[in-house]
Amino acid sequence: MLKKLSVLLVAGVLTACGTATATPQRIDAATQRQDPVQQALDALVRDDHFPGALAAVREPGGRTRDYTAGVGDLATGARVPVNGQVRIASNTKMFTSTVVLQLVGEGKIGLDDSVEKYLPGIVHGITVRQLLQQTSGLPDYDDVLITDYFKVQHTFYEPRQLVDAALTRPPLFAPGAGWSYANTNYVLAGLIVQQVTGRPIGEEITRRIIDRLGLRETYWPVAQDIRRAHPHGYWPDAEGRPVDVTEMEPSMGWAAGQLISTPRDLNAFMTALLGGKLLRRAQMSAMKTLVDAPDFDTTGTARYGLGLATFDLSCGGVAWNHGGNAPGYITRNAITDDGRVATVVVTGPAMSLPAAEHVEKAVDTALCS
Amino acid sequence: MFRSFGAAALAVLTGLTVAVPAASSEAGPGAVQQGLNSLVREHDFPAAMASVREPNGRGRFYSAGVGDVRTGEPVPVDGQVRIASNTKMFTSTVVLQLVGEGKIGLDEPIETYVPGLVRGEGIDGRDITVRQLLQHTSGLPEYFTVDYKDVQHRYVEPRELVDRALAMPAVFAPGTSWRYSNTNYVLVGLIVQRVTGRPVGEEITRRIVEPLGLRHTYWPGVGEQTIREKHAHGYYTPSTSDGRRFDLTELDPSWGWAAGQMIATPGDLNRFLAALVGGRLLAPAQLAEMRRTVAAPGFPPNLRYGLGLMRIELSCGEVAWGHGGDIDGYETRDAITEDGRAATVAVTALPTPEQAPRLLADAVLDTALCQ
Repeated sequence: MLKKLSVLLVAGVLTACGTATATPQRIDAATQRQDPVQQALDALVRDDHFPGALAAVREPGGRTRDYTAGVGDLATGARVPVNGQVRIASNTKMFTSTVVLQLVGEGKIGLDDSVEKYLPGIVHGITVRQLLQQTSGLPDYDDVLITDYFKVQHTFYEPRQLVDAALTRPPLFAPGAGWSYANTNYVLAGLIVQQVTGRPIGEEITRRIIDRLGLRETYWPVAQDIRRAHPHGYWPDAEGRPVDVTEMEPSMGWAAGQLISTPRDLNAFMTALLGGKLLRRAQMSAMKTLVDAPDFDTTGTARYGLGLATFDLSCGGVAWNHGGNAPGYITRNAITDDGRVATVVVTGPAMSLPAAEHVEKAVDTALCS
Repeated sequence: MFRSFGAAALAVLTGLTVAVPAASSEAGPGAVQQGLNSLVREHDFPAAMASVREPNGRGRFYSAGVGDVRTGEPVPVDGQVRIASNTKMFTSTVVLQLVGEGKIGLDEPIETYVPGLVRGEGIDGRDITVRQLLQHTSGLPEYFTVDYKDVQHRYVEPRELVDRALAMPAVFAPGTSWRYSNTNYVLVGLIVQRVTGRPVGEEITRRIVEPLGLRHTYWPGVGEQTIREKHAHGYYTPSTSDGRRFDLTELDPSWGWAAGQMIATPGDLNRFLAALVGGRLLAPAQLAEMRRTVAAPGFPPNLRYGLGLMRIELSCGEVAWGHGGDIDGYETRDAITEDGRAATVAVTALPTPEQAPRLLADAVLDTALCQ
């Protein structure tokens, strides 16, 4: 979970979804239906069988359009709440990386220091930068812990347990010798933040980012539910039928994927981050220093910085993004250099490569149309 | 902290012949009040409080001193305190429930539940049993070797506490002696989490706090440094008598975790003891295991240690069961007699090293239970 494409492509087809539900009726329904973003969301529900979809698109001037499609609850047929809360999964990495880079700016962490300097005896020969950049060669604990998601849906993990699980496998390559996405990297980054600040990582993210920016719908959950209005999230059972996984234990994500937010809040965060409101120039530049990350998204052209990646736009130019996959929620989001920002969420896994591509394409549509 | 008789006190106590505290000659509620008055007036505790619960469930609350030395505000009636090592009774109860459910074996090596985790100089998880952890006969060293004042607002992961302990050599081979160590209960907490797949605080809440309706008892969440409800402030006791006291009410309790994280009121602690000893939490077999005691060398001679529960011989010849807890800011002493009279005494600072061997709060507990 919380990660790269491969995990998304679950075997089986989500056919029994019953998602041929009409989009919520709106006063401006006719106008809305001609909107390319709305059309993209409708197609995600109709053609790719996602139970629900929601999006928020913000113009550089500050005006936001909200979109929904499909149903928020397959059991009741309730509509998808506008700007509902979702598990933003790996988008949490942008927050964790931002906190680390703030601490770098404060002289409390050195990007090229060894992880051992802060966390003695856990991993060797890896730098803080390599963690944030996904070039450490550490294996991903997801691959060890998740064989059947339903078996771990409500299982609590301590962060060190996640690291232990990853370290039962050999390294993928020598530190710095390749790129491979692993949540393990960001769990270690979170442990470093705790060591340096003496406070829980969730508290540091809350104090340094969420409270500071007034992201009132964004929080670090400790319980298994989602606090405010939200669409339900689904994960397929062995027969491919969607099972409601909205309530789940979030500790497997931790500093790599624990947060809950909304499309609007995620847009606001990215606007503040890329607008330079959270990091000093030197650290912003470090965050945007890229390496090739070909399997990060479906385009194959992504490059990865420090918890921030590039996203090539069909209309030319490059946007900044991250995205995240939790069981039940896929989030794709990006911001252009001129400040147009979009977040698209679907409430089930992509059952095919084209379906995964279409979610990313919806972000492209939002930024290019 | 979290010791039943503080780390500092522990050293002082060793090798001393400590007299069983004598009950006040004056019986009745007046004696408890007098004991509290004396703790404040003669022994400089900012506040002292007691809650006494009769076998029929009727309770009485006593207090002396002030709830806040800066403002002089009174001690709230049955206010919350950090109960520190009393948490061990809760953790042990959860483990013994899991034993009753067949999910944990008391004499199983801890390696079964936390494979590969416990290794060190003279330390091997394959040679330590769950019972030895609960009983403090594992020989594992104590992790809490710092001054709470220096780590007041510092959050630690439970695994870091284990790491700290495992950096030191074993105190003795498992099963060969007895030594109080918070490390034992942090490992027990990790075992509960592995076996249940849920946080130990949640298991304590779901299995004990909620079913008993202990509405003023809780496990502070990750990073939660305040005390939620009305409470007397807790004060730091400097290691030398000339130092100044300061307010240590707010602190990060993660250094206690399954060995000492919880907050409760004296009244709730009495209710918990009544339910525990009354068999409402454990099946007879597991309650019997909990009450099977061993000698506790270094502790006062009237104490023996079971599984997260101490057997206390009172000055009046009766036997009581409880635990007690010390954390900077609060010392609690609590027990319930065989005939169901429960009492909890709390002071809002730890005794000084000079005071500790005199077992001042213990004496008031004895008074409350013997009257």
